[in-house]
Amino acid sequence: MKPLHAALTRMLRLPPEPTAPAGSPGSLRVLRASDRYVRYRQLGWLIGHAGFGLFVLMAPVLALLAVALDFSGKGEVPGWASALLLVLAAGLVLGFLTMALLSFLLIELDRQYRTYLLTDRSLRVREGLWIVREITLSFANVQNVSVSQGPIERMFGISSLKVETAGGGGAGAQGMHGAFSGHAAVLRGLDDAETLRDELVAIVRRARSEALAAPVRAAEASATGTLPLEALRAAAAESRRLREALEARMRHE
Amino acid sequence: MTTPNVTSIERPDPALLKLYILRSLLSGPAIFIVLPILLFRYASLRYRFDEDGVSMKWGILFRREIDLAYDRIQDIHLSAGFVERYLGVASIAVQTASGNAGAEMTLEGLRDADAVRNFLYARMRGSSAAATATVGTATAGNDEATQLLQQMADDLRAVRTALAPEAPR
Repeated sequence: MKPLHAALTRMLRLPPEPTAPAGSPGSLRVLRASDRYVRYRQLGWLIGHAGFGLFVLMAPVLALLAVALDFSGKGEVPGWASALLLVLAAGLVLGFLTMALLSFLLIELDRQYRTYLLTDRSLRVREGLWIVREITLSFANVQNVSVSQGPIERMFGISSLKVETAGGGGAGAQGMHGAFSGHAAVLRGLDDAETLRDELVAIVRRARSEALAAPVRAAEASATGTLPLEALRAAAAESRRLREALEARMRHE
Repeated sequence: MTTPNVTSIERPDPALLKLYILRSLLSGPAIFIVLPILLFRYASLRYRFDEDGVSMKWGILFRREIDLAYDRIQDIHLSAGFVERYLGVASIAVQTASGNAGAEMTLEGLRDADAVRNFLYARMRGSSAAATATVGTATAGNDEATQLLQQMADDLRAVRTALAPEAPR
């Protein structure tokens, strides 16, 4: 398993750990999917491949049977045709088994490279093997944190945490970018999503009040910051001189 | 955190041309339509990172230009497909709080995508590090401006009362 995984990592050119997102130093936490997530995915693999495998293997087996038993009874299937059928059937079966093995190996690799980084300000989720995706969002923009668990996930004791930011786009639009469209990051296969949810809600509450006020404050501040102080100083000096000149003249009279 | 050379990015990496050619080869018979479209897109694609936002434009017959202010950016998606990783480039999709689920802008063919992402992240909405830094210095100027205006008001009032002592204060 290990050397196969190493070879696949090289072949896929998987980049190393993602860089940490912005946040206070020391606040970085690295979370990973549970071991049980691997078993959950393996069960999914088994069910999927059992169904699909039956379907894929049915056709060549039936064809071979037809040739071998010579259903037409006249012996008119030429030798090269049955040979071609045999090669095609063997190719199909081999191809299916290779793909099945590969996707089985990739489940474990997917878990290894699935990384959830969180700091006090930002969240970064990295997932995917063929297409490596990293989503980064600031807790200040998070609108909603939700936990979801399907029946099979409940059997394995894992759940997913969905962190959403503002913006529309329904499930229908998610096809192209998978988990990464629809303004949300999904942390799959967590051991204890509830605790993490509570922690995130607390962080989000704090971050929102801090950070979203900051641009407003900065805008106000930069509005005054760009005041023509030079001109203001000149005008003030001029008004002071005007007053002095007038007072001097008044005293004169 | 921010690298200064991000602002100098104007063109996608030449590897994007290879990616586009590969992608059009994979499109089968549609290559006669896909290849020219992608070639035109590559030839005309321009990026600009300026003070307030990032913009990209492309197209020769049908031109498109997208401008996005940094402080409207909400999520940043970095993705690198299998072929992109071999070519050493990545794409960054930028989302604002708009109604559609797709990205507002996808910057393709970035060689140092991590630096671009950090650059955008430091400037985006809700990233407080940059914003709070300016507050302190700006309020200092604010104080002085108030003081100067106060002094001017005092002086002008003195001038007015000196000119017309009988006028109401």
